[in-house]
Amino acid sequence: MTPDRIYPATGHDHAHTEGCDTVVRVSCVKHSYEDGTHVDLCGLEFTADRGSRVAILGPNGAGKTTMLFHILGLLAPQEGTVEVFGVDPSSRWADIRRRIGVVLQNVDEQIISPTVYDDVAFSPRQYGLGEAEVRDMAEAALELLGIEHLAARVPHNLSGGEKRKVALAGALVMRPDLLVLDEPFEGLDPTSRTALIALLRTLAEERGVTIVMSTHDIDTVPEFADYAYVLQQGGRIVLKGTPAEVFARVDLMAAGNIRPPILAELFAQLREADPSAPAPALTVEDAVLALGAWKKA
Amino acid sequence: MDVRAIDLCATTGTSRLHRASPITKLGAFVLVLTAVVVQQNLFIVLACLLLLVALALGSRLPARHVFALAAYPAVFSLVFAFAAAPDAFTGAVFVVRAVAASLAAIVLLFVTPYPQLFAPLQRVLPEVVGDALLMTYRSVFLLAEKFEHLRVAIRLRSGLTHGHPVRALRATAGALGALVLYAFDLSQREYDVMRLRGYQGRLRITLPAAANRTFDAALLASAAAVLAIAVIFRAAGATLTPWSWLLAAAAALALLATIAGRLVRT
Repeated sequence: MTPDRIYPATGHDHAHTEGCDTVVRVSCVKHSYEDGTHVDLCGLEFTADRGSRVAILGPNGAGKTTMLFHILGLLAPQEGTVEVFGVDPSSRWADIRRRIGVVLQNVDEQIISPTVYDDVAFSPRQYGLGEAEVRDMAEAALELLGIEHLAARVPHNLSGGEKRKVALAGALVMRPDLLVLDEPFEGLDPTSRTALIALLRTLAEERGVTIVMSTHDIDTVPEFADYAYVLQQGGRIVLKGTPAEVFARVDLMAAGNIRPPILAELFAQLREADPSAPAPALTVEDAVLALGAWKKA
Repeated sequence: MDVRAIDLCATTGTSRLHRASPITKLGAFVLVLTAVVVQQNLFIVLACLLLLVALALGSRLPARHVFALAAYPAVFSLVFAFAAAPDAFTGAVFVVRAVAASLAAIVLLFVTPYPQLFAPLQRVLPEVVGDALLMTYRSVFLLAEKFEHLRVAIRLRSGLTHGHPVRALRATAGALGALVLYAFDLSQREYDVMRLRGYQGRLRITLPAAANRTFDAALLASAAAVLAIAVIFRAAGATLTPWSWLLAAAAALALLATIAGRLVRT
């Protein structure tokens, strides 16, 4: 999965994001649903800078999806402010929509065309691009996700993981500056998950794409995210930091009902058994280095 | 009705009819339907029906699904024929006409993906109606799947208790009610998704060009010929009626040739 074709190193214009380093800003947004549920996304301010990979963590019902829906302008804040590329997405979505790619949690509802190719080509067609350009963009997106062989398939018959890749191709086809992903790794096999993490890292590091992702898949956070936000029940944003900083706050993680990554648990138990054990490592590579050094010592 | 079978066939079929332009297919359908409607001669309507059967078989459509669906109107038209037809001949015309008309529509559905079928109509319908027709495409599948899940859930939780039809009926009605609520919710979510993906108040559907213009022209010409013959026989009245069986015989030969060709190929 190399992004060269869909995001050519030359030719793709990121200039319009320059001078606007904070791509997303959510400040104490409050939202009440019709059933009486209140979500107050207060506490810390949520920001995502250009080219960063941000994970949103929290238990079920904490307000992760509410946060994403505000960023996407699907919900209008009843209190507080939301800015995406410097504008309020709920009132000026038309100004920014071409710059945002989205994968929602239920990808089944996101796929709306009779074939995979048609679905990936949906957005460029809606923007009125010529069919030759649409074809080029759609083929590039399919190639990027390694699903060219699915192009002629009917979406209803695909597996969950395949559907997620199709939805991702549909999100990437317009070469967005901001990717909003709700549980992007759900249903993916380990190989696809690793490949997707690598792709998202490349998009962020080399092409300046900002990625905001909500996930329950804690083990992917250290590999994927530059920094993470932790939401508690009711939406309060209680913690922001690098994955190492976040997972070191065992008290807040426990209060948020979030299990730390398995490596963090391993190192914590090692430390309980032997205080000379190394500080927690969150990736396999770091763990190998830390344990190797500890063994030598 | 197996919507998935229709969709799969329409989307992945590779016959010449599948690859013809959707506008050509719609045009041919309208011509054949008009021929069936204007004609009252049993042999000519039968000829139309046999040609449609040949077309369905020649295009390798799933015969079980196609003919089962086409047979539905036969049941209702039989009732009408018994009730209203003055003689057996007229009654037979009612039934054959209904089956031929439905078969024409079913063949069209099986060879044209739903969005392509409704995209041309979008040009003549009000925007909101055209878009709604296209939006229902995925919803139909999602709702069918949801209903199946609900049905299984009810069964697993003993909702469809044998010997208790009232309880089973109540459980099924509850599931249908839940499905209606889900459908309302789904329509909002689908609209949100389309808006996020670039929908700007008018769905743009790209219709595929004809893979073989000669075939498209031949298809339209054949449909026009069917209509012309129907109109001529209708206008000529009793003068040509004694010869009408020849058309049915020719159509039967065409059908036999199609079947033989299919057998040889397999």
